Amino acid sequence: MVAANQNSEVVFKNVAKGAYSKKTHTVILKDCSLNVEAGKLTVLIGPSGCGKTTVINLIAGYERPDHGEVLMDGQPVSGPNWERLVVFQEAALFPWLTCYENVMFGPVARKAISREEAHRQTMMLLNRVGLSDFRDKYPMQLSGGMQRRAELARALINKPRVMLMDEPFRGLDAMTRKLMQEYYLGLFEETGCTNLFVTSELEEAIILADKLLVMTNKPSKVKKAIDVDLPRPRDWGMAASERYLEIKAEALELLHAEAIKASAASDKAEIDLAVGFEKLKTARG
Amino acid sequence: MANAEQEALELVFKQPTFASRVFSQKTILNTISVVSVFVAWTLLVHFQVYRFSLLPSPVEVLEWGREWVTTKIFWIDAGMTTARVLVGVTAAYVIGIPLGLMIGWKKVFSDLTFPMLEILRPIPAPAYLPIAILLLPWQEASVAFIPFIDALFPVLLNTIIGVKLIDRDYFRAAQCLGSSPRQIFWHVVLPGALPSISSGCAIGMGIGWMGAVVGEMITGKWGLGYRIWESYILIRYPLIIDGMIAIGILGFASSMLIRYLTIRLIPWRRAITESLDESITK
Amino acid sequence: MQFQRKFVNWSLVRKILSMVIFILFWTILVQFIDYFHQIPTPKAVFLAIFELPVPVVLKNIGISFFRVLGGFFVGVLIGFPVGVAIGYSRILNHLIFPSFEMARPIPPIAWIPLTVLFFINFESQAIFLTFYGAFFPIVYNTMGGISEVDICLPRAAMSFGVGKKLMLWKVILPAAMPQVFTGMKLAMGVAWILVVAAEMMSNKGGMGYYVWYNHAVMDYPHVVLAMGIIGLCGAICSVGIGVVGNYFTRWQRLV
Repeated sequence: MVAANQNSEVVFKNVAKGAYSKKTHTVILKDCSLNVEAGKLTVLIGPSGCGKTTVINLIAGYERPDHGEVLMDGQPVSGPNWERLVVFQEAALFPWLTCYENVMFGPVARKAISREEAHRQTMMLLNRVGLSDFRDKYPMQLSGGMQRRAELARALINKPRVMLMDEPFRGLDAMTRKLMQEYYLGLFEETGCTNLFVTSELEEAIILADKLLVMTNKPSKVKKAIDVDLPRPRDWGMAASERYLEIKAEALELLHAEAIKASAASDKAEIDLAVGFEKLKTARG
Repeated sequence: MANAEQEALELVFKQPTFASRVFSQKTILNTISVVSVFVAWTLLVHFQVYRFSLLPSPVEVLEWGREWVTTKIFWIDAGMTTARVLVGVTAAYVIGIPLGLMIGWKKVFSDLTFPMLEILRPIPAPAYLPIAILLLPWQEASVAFIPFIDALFPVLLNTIIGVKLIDRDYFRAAQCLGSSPRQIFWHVVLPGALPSISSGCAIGMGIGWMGAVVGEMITGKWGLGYRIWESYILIRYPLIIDGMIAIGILGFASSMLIRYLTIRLIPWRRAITESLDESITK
Repeated sequence: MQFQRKFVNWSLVRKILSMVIFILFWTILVQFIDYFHQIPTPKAVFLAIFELPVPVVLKNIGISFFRVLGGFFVGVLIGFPVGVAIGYSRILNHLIFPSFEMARPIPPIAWIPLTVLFFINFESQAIFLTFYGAFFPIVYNTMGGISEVDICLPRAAMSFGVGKKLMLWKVILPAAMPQVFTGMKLAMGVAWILVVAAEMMSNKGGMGYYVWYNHAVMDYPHVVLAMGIIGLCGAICSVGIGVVGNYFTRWQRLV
């Protein structure tokens, strides 16, 4: 079975991040503090465009916060690293490599383990995700679900300390999605790796999560952290339990409130250059 | 204004000032790029490196050019070349677009016409010149044939691809609604293929300008291409470069014109030229 | 599983029919419309095949090929690295791209007089021209291919610990290959156009010259044949590039 790895905790402290374009500056995250606990599956849920992908990018090290700190085990995150691996929304398998070569890519690139050992682990993982028959196929020859599974294998072989999943099951049909969620839950419960899962599907979020973080609109921060204390291992029957329905109702209410705010008011996050500049000038005197 | 809000605004306003925008790395490098070409050119000519001694310097080119632009001959030449290109390329549009639409739409039509076109496509446009002279004995028209052939195939191919890329669901929807083939053509096929058509038109115009000069250099008495060749024979070397620049400007302007016109028709097209390392990490 | 085959493959029939129709159309035009009487009939062209001075033609083909391939390979040798550099590095892009954009609108043909001035013999002139013609499509398509690589791929690779040097070879170039080969095909087409034009304007051999020579002696069936031969040569080159390109992008064509 897949071995458990060392786990890490990720902490955001008053993080602010914006996106600058020619005319306006959009503040995506503002004063955002959150906690991804070690060994737990944390799910980030929120309205679309609220910066969930930005959170992932910040943790992965692809972007730096404008303000505040992103810490892993107390150390600031300084760049992309095998310790924090991302499974992207659109499958990012290397299209010119076969399934097998894709999964081997991490260990081979890092030269962390010998080739024989890498081969052994690759075959083990491919078996585990059910793709051993497809090892010599190119990504274009695989279905959506299979590509996701291959990507999971590719990430897991490196035993990352934090797994970042950016809406990985988006676009899959309902049945495939259910299967993928089961697979994923199984893998998580085996490895016990720290996971941050981003999604906009509430039901998926609750059935997977140990902790649910509900985000606000832009400029985003965590509106509420809900403990999902359903027992592990999870099964679909829990979707009918009282506790599940309680959590769902609470989360729905929070999201609903945010949705109303978003459609009612104009986007507060976009500050027009001229207006803001004027304010700043008068404030400075 | 509360301190916190002011701080936040300060944070947001890491705007580059006007000065820093003008002197941004990009503009500086761009300017260096352009300037260094002229500097290198001047130096190479001045120090008579290898055969550069035969070439005119930028200064000479400018002076001769300034004078040339005031002569009547220049405007006749420019007009003739432009006219030939426009006639040829327009003919390519007029023939290529409907042909492409039909080929992309109906397989029967495609089977009957496309194989012959595919056989003709690899033949380089200048090779058509003798036949063009036979078909269109007027000097001018035969020269316009080359831009026509040059532009025809890009326009044709892009139109065909444009039709093939239309989502099949649009056709099915139209048929469900009871449209006649004619209505389908005007309301599904043509608009759906427009983005690719406009791209093909722009490419065709660019390639058409390439071809215009060919014909003029080989045969002909008027036109910028001919004038360049004559300048070489009459040892008026700065005019060669002036002619080249004139053609370049005209070609560029006509491409821009086509792009502008077609973007008006299709507001969602954009061209992206951005370097990769800018986007990987921000 | 058994397939129900249609008795006749109508599509194929139509395709053959199209060539027949073309030849008929051509014959009718020439024989019955007085205006076109100078154009050779298909029959005349066909008969001319047997009168082809084969050694002369082969020699000319060889000469043209030499010029085209020479310039093309120089174009790839210089254009490909330049395209990669411009696509990958922001600084190099800003430094080099504007000069290219300035030069691009000027058609390669317009460079002929300058080339004649600058280079001593025709071969070097021709190779420079084909190089120049091949250069821009290669550079621009390579640049496009590299800058349009999906961001997720290099990011994922970076997370796996791929350093900057390996990134180029193992991630970015493979991803950009399809576009690079598109550029090469375009470049080959342009190179042929330039060679033919240059040869038509001079008397230094090659298929372009052969076309013009036959035109001068009013031997039109041979003109048409020469056109066809040139087309064939160009097509062979394109197919060649296609084959090589298919090898490098075999992961794309499997579905």
